[in-house]
Amino acid sequence: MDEELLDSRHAIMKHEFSSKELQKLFQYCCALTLQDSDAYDLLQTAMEKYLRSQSADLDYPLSYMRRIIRNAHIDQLRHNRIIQWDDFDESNIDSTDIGWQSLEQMIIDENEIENLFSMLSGIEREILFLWAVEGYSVQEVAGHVGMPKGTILSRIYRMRQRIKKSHQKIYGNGAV
Amino acid sequence: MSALKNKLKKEFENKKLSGEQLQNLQRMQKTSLGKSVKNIWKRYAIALSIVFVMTIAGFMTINQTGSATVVEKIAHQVATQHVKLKPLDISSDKFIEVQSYFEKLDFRPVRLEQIQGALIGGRYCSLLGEPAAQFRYIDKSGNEQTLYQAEYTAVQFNELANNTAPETIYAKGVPITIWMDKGIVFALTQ
Repeated sequence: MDEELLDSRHAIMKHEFSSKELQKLFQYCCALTLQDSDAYDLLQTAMEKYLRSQSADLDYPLSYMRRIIRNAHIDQLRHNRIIQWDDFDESNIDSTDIGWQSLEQMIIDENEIENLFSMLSGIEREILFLWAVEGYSVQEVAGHVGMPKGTILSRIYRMRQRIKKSHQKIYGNGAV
Repeated sequence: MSALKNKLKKEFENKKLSGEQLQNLQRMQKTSLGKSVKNIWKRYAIALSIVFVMTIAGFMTINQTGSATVVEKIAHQVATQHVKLKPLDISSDKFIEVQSYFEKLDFRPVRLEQIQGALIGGRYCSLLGEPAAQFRYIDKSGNEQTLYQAEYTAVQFNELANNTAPETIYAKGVPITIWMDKGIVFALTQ
């Protein structure tokens, strides 16, 4: 069986994303790239890969597509040599201060969000997106991004610290 | 001020593809997936055509085989048996002994004077389903020769009714001479 036939056989079973799903995927791209134009480029690249791919997760097309987007994004970052895999010493974490709960309690000003996005890395924005928009658990986020749960928790902790610091800078030490 | 989660959700959900971008992505999907659907039908059509052609070719081959002459059928069977010779039922260089062995046949096999090789024995066999005697000889070069004799029946050998002249035909690379004489069908490998 030649490649084209194989390709078309799989393609006929592929999911066609609705407008709503495309918008959601675009939002995910925005979380990764920060810039709308980059997000669109990323989505387009991922769509090409999805349509070309000879296999697809038919049960969870959105998750499958998000994985393609994520991999394409990492490829781009690697290509541009701007990826940063920072290590974090988890021994410094106060175990009572980690997880979604620590973020749930945070209050933020309307105008702070852009500042918040710009100070976070792509992976951190991705984690926030999966939490806030998709409603993922920490375990699900870990599964999606392919990282240990502990690493996700440490990133959440660090994000909280950073947001807190930024908040204090604006509103003083009494702010959350 | 609002909860971080709500604010983030709202912020992300405000990000929207423009109408043009959305259309472009939808077009990409439709073109690719639509093309694939067309391709698969095209492929199925080609596959069906191949199956159809092969079926026709198969029928033609069967018909050709079915239309093989009696001489060709005999030659094919004799050649097949000659290439893979089975053990002799009786080993003897005396024609009378071998001839007597074929007592179960409804005819009496005859000696052919024109055969130069030395008789080594014989075995029961069949020609087109008819019981036959197989005589085996060895010629001067050490090659085995087989001679088949079967009773003529109109059902199996009708075409040979008026064909008493020997006809030599090749099957599986073996030259085989076939003829009918006095109610006996003969097939001799060279």
